[in-house]
Amino acid sequence: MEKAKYTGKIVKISGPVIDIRFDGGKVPPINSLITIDEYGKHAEVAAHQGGGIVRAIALEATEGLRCNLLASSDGKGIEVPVGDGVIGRAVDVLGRPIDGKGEVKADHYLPIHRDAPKLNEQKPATELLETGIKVIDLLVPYAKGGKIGLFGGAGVGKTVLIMEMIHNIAVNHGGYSVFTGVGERSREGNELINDMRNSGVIDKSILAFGQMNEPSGSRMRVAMTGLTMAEYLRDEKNQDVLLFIDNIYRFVQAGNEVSALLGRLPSAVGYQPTLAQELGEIEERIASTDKGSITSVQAVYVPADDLTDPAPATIFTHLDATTVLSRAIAEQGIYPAVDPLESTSRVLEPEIVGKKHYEIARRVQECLQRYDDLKDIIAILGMEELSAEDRQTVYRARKIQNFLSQPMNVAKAYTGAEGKFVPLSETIEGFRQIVDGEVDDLPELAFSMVGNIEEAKEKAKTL
Amino acid sequence: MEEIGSFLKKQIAEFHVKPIVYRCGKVARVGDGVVRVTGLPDRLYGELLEFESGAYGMALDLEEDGVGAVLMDNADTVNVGDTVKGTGVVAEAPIGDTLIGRVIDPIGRPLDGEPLTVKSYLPCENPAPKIMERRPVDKPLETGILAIDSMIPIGRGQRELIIGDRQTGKTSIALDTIINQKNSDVICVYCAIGQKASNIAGIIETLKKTGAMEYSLVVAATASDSPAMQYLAPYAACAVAEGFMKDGKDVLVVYDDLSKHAVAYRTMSLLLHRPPGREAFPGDVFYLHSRLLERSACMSEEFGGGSITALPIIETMGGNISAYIPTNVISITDGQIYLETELFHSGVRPAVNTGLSVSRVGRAAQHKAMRKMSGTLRIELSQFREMAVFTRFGSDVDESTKKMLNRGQTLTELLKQPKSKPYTLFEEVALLSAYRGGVFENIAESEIKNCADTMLCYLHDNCASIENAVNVSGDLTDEDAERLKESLNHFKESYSNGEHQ
Amino acid sequence: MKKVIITTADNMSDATYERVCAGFREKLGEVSFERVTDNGIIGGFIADIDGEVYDLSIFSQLKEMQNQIKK
Repeated sequence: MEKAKYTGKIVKISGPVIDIRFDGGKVPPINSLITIDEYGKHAEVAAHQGGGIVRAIALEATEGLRCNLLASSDGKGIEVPVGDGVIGRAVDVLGRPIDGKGEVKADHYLPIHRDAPKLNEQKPATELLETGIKVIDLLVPYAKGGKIGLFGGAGVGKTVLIMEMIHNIAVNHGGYSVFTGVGERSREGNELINDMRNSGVIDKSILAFGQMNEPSGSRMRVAMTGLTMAEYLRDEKNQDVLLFIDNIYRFVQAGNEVSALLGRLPSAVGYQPTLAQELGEIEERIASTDKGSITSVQAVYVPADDLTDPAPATIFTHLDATTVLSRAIAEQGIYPAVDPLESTSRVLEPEIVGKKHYEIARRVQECLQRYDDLKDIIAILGMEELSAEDRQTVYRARKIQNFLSQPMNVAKAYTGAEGKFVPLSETIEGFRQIVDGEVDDLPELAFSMVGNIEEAKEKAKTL
Repeated sequence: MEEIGSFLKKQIAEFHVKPIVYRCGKVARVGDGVVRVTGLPDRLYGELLEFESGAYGMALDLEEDGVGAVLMDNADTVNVGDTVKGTGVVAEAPIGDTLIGRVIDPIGRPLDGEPLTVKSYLPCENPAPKIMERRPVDKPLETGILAIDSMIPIGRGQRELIIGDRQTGKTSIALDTIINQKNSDVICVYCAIGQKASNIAGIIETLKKTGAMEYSLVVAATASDSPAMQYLAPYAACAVAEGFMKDGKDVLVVYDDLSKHAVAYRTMSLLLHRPPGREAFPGDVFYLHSRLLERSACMSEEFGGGSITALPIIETMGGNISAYIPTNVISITDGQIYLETELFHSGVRPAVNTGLSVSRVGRAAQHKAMRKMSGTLRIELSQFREMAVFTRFGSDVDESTKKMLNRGQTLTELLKQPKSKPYTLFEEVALLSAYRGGVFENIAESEIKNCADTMLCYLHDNCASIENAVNVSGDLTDEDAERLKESLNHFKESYSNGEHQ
Repeated sequence: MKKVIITTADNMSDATYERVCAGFREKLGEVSFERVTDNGIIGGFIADIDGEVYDLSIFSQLKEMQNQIKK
């Protein structure tokens, strides 16, 4: 048994932050992985305090640890298994298996701390990715190799939407998917693994979990674990990889939890002063290059429903398409609760989506915007005060709102309805009929929770 | 007597005298419930320390030359120079059957005047079950409250938040759920955090009166207990629940409430000089609750098959569910029951806002009979609400909309329910069946509740066999559904003819 | 030099006390002693060596016995 390069002992414990004094003043570099020998627990070096002392963040709970315990390190950072041996497996932040299927046999291990691709290696996205979800395909289209964000406060449906996309996209995707659970519910992790096993998607997926029961160190680093595994597939296997992260906000939150204990002064809203830097380092790695592509869908939790909160606000700037989920819309029973006026996509351009799609999308948005503007007048004076033209716009807008809702497969448990995948062409056609006034005579309830326009017409007959 | 005598003699004869060895530290500083202790190296993180006066503290800042601890008991019993002993254990909670019917504090001391015998303990801080040790939630936890069991169903192993302003009936819902477990095999743990002692006493009275104490217990930290004691309370309650869960039992834990818990933790952290974040809460206030609530789970058969269902309670200010702590906890739990002041005051009780309330585990956790009946209720109600606002000025509405508004009003009336009067599964199914079948179509809004009660009496007399079948099997067969529909139609006719008055 | 605080009850004779001190001197070498009286311990002694406590008081031994019988 080789003696570790660096050895020392714990001299201070304050929550998840541990100070270790290393022998002979030789300290392992920042980001090195430290093992607390007696308990087999791990920590990562965050700072050098001077005098041979490092400040480290625990990757596992610190209850029961005490000063003077021996610690050692090889000076290397966390390294995780990559490649074929991980396909079909679920691992934790350190790459250890958590699916009960024995050891992970990988030919390569890569450090999770890596550089982002250089500027000249990056490739911008221009090909469309069909999700089958009307509101997204029409108003916030996604691009292959692009970076997509699902923003929403607590309980508005981010996880349901990301699961629906795994269902719609990953199932039909020819390549591999990597799913990283960052600080979310263990129950969801369990359900995801079971669903993936049942549908067979697990055979082309890799899962990494650091859920909300884990201490901050684990939640801070697991996103990098998943990302590293995706990068390997992109760079070494030249793959088009799908990367799902639920939820990138928890990465920031975990960093926040340790920031003050690391001695940093708090910045705006109490966040770590290194917020933008930490996000930049990870977001810039999620990129498509000439070697392969990563299409990423990141769920972004919006704390206290405040979109101007520094964390979601910073994350916005890194994305190509932002799908914003709104509580007000969820309250009306419209799911997915996507805000059609707040959500944006860089590829909603006539050059990329085509003139027809672009025009219908814009007309739908104008109609909804007009309805929004008129809402106050309606609330105070009633519909009678509007001109005939405006009234027509309002009725069409309400039909549009309802038609933007859609039963999703993964939401069957709450809605009791079968999920629908609506091809883009049918989506465009359906909305065209509404804005062109071809279905003005149908009751607006007919458009709620259906797939394509034909289903709406069917439903109208039963009302 | 003889036996006891010889037993004692044997024990004394076999007793070996040996020195009791322990480390003794001294209090260097004490203030604001935080103590600095020197001369006690090698303490465990989170270890309980015993002070000279018998008071306890928790070691939360370990350094080579000293330990920072928060006092669990009152600070005025601890002085500089006092000796301090380490207990060698991290905070533990007592577990086992002897706890049923008892009231204890977070470190396991009885609060109801009787001594407590304990066979074993579990650490208060325990890792949550791993992802693959769980199984999907599939068994219902019935609250007996129609609005909840039909549209926001709770399953065993789920975390469902009860959230609302003060005095909106949050504790009532939790207590009613506990009371409704009388005929089930669920063990209940009620955890009071930071409440007035008189409130807690009242709750214990209610539990005793309704016979709930035969399967429940209480873990209490009152408003006058130290912040550290309030901080520990929910973790202790959870450990108690885990004690039962590992034996394969189903447990229900109520945390009343986590808002006060967050405030106690904030106080503790600030006094430990840990820097403040949003709303002056420490950065890890999310983790404070996430690691607690993740311990409520549904275990796979391999790991015992037990479950812990959590009903945490959060109090909002001015109905603001977008505030920091409320959104934190909403993003942890598997759904929320949102109670609104306006609804409460306008007579809708339980004051559940079905639009903002949700159960993410949903229908997988419902009895078949209920699942069949409650299908699209939520969507109907939400569309009713939205439409009611839109058509406030009597604008032209089409027939289908008018019908929908009518049904919405009927449903709202049917969902009203008094405290401590849980419905059985059959009663809930019958009410929904009647609603669907239009039994209340022509009844005035103010009459609906009476009519519904009368109807239930009628069904108890005339459909006893169906009632039994549903309550026992959880399902309503097609045959029984037909017979039920017939009975309901009979009732509808006879009621409109003036009978049953 | 280490300091040893020895707590005894009134009933311990000076001769016995000297024997106890000698025993510690043998184990630890040069040490200074301080004697404290506390009748609550009933008999025997408690030695506090810089925070490391060896409790051979009758009071504590009786408590231990009680705990063992309870089990």
